[in-house]
Amino acid sequence: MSYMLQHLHNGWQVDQAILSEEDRVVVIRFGHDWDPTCMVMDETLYKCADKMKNFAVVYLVDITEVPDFNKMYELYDPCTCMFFYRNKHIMIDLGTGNNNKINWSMEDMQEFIDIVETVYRGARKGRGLVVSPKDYSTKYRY
Amino acid sequence: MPLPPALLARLAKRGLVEEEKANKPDSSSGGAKTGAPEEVEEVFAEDYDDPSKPDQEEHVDADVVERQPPPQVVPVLTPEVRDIVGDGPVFYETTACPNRINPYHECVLYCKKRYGMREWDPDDDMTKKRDRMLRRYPLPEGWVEVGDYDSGRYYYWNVHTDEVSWLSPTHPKAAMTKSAEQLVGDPTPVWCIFCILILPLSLFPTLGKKDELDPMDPAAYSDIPRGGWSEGLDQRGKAKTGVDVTASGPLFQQRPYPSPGAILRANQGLKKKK
Repeated sequence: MSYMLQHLHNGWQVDQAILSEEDRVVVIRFGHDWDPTCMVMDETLYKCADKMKNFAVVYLVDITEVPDFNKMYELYDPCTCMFFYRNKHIMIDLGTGNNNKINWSMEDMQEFIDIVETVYRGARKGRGLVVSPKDYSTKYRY
Repeated sequence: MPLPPALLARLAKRGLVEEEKANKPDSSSGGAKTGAPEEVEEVFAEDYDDPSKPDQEEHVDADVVERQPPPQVVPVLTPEVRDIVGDGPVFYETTACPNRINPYHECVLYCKKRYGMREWDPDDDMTKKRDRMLRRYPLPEGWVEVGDYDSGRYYYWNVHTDEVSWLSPTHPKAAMTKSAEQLVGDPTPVWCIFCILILPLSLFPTLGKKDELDPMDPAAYSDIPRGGWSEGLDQRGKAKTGVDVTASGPLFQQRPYPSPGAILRANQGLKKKK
């Protein structure tokens, strides 16, 4: 489903995409379109995108095409999802130990929408760190 | 011929001028003190407040000490002190007491008896150089040559302005300053610091050798190249991550990444540097 979502092809586009969003959360998926993990994530993102178009916008970034952020954002996982609001990185306490990003693929659409909505509500209040509605620590995943 | 008060005070301290003469430039209170106690009601104030009182005591002390060995450098106490000073280098005699570096120690008679006086043995090389310098740049009026026991060198003292200089004041490189004693306040700590700093360095010449490879340096026992002082320091842009690496403890989980724009700018800056 990656072809249905908008891709960003260089660092400048990524920067502008985030800067131009005044009042919406920018969800960026870093990874590869051909990666199976990303395919699952993209499916979820595509399904959510229309539902949360009022408060979030989704972009895809190929980390091979745009390697600018790999080092600073520690993009080592096949699929990484990050949230930005008004040119600020918003952290989510997912219970995984990494508050900076979602580095696995989510299959449940509603769960993802809940997370994005939490991010949006927290960021609107000026929070840099929000707590995910669901705990994603390993005991729940396996 | 009127003497400058600075010179008078110094000479009086050494016992070369009579106390009355030294105190003349002072107010009448000095005279009242040395003279007979005419104003009895002021005795109290004199005892505690008069600054020249300790000098007087020292003078008495010095009398006892110095009368036995006649002063060698300045032969006779002539009324024209300028002439004495003009004779040759002035020396402020001190005991060779090792406790002199202690700022709270004041040498007493015992120190002199036990350790004797410091001896002046100038270096031949230094004397030659100093003679040549004085021939080229003779001392102007008001400047007196003084021997410094600590360095074994001569310095030059202006009796009018109380300035001192290591070189002849006419020398182009001469730096005339107030004496360290005046600049710092107490002379002894300066000498003390000098002792502590300079003497051990000269005693342990190995400290100066910097090129020797420390056996504990990894470069001494492995293939690692020898590093400079900046090796291993945090370098900009070399960080593994964009988050604040200095955050630790409870803050560790709360380190947001910089915005993409900031990262692009940082990358740009790194490229330019290369």
